Amino acid sequence: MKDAVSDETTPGFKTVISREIQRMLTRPLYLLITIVLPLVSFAIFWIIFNPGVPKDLPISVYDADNTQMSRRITRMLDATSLLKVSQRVTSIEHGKKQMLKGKSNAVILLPKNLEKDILKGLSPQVVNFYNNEFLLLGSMINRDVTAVIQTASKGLNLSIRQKKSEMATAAMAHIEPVAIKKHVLFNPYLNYFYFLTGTLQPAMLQIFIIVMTVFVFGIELKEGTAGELFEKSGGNITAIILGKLLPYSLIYILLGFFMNIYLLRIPGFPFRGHLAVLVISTILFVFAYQAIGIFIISLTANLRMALSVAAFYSSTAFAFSGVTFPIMGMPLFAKIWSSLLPLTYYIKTFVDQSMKGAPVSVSIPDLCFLSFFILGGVCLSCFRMKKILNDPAYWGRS
Amino acid sequence: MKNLFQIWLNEYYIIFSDIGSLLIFFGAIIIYPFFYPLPYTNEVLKNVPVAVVDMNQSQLSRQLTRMLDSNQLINVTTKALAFDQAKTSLIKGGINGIIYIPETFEKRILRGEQAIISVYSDASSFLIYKQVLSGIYHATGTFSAGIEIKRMLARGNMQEQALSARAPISLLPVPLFNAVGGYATYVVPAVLVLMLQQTLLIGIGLLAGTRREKGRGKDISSQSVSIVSLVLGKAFAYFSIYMVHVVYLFGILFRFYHFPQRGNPLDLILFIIPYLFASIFLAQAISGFFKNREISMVILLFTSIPAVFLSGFSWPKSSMPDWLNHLALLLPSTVGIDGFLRINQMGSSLKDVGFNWGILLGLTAVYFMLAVISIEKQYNRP
Repeated sequence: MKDAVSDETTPGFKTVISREIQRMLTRPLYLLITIVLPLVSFAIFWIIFNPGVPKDLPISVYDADNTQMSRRITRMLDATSLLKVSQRVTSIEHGKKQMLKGKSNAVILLPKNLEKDILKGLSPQVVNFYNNEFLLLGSMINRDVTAVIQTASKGLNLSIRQKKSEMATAAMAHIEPVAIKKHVLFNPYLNYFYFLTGTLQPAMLQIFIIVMTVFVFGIELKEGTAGELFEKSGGNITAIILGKLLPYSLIYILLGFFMNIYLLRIPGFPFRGHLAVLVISTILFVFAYQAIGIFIISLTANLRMALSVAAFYSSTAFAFSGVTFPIMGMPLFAKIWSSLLPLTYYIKTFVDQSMKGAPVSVSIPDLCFLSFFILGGVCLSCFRMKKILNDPAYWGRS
Repeated sequence: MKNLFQIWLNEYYIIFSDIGSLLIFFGAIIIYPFFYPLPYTNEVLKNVPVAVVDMNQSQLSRQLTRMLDSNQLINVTTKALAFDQAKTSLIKGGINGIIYIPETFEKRILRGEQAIISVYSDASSFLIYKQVLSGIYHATGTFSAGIEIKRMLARGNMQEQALSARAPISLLPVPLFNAVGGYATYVVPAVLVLMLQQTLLIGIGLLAGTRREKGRGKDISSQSVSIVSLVLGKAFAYFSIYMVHVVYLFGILFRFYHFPQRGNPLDLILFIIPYLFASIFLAQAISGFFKNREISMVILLFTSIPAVFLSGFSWPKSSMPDWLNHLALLLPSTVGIDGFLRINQMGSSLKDVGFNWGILLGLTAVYFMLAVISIEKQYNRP
């Protein structure tokens, strides 16, 4: 029985797949969307994030004290790898003006009598006016300025108290009754190259997959070739769906592996989990987006409309995937929407398996959700797809 | 002149009689600004779940735990008895940080020694990491200060001196322009500025593709009209529609979202005009590549995310290679997003963003010429 079915399926499937490959090879647009543009988009992110950690961001210092102490703090700020004291300004206003011009990211005010007040124990205040419009940079800058002032402060405290002839360890205890020993997990160098590249690339890939899936089916409707396709397949909808999609599945899966291999080969890339899980997840990810693609085209039965829906769905996905703003902080509707995106599950698996080194069991629910999209998408669109491919009323609409 | 005006009006007719272009020129502009900010409406990430592993179980350790829990950035959801248990939970993603309080905690504090707590934080996501650490540092700092003041008071110091003796230098961070660090305030304006360019590129590409598909010469614009009038007439139609969008987005919607508007409105308008024209002429220049109605969307859709990053708003331009920065100047959005944010969010003047403005004017001029060439070819005229 099983053999009989596959015997019936095979000729239709073979015809459809060879027809599709021919179409793919003869239309430059197809190669552009399947191979060239995805690779270009990967390359853009590799190049943008390659240094991993920003360096030498210009800041300005308003040194109203101009003493050994204030100069020492200035040197310490300049010595961090993130910051570069690019200019001395003569007032806070002057420093802010430089910020408005985009020439500086912060003004550090070293107040008058800084050194004197330290010696008097008056705890003078250094002020960090920083540009928080560019949020990521703002927090990096404030983190490093805070660290510099803390280091300077600790050194001073120790020497002041030692002068008062306390024991060094006791002096330490007076500085901070409770000290924090920090352990940075999963990303010890706080390098966001991995995170951003590893998540932006699948975000790009899903756009291409869904657009291409919608396109290869929609174009048959638009150009009125759906009937011919239907006949050639012997009216076998399974053969049509598989035959038309598998060539692209293969290409996109290979692209998915390529983006993973690229990351894994970078020295120091934290991969602690199970490669097999990542491989399975990549495959399911591609199929899931293809399934959603055929769902959209069969629902709309109109290439342009389907593309608009696919565009909306895929181009907003990154914002909802929890990379930029974690899902736990989103309002309910956004949480629900993010759960309707295969990208969310793929990225979670990627982070769990690569950076966190989670056990397989953690990723199994995510793999199940991805499979869900595949099953759901195919089941929901099979019958309608059969109908629209076979009914000229749906052809030629745009 | 009369011709130009006719083409201008005719272009409105073309836009409004095509459901596909309406969806892009109007539908997207209406839907995106409401949909896109949804993940960020809470603005600040709060209540990140963390675990406390309290090996001490003393009055002081419980006090510290309470202080950690009452910090708004973090939420002590788990009180684990063993570190391994908490670590498993961290890997599984149930919590994002662990505070380990050692057995000797209270004893050391009472003896006047330094107690050390260990913090393990999930750094796989930048924002989570930042919130967990600042929550813990803030709570622990408050706890420490309380202990220290008690010690000083016990030694008979005046309270004021006690307070000031804490740190020889203190730091006051003053975040400017987005003081609360709101995430929607950070991301959404940039994305909306980009949306103007992207919808113009795709929409104008769609109209050009449609015209080719239907065959040439049906519209009046192909007869006895100078090419310059043809390009400008169409451009003015798009431009006028987009100026309405600009007023809607940045005049009305920004107020609705309470986004900062620090810039001089005149500077903002003067900046946006060449941004729109550069985008329109670029769209016209590349519209010749689109032989079908749908192709512009298929090809251009992916450019949005890279374009945002190329504008340098999340990752500094100085960390990207120069050649890429120079190449990126070809997109109006690169200097457009940056300049818009500086004027509108930071309150820079047009003079402050003079470089950006100059580039936009230059792009407008160059793309206008390319648009003339492209439209000339599309309308098959000598």
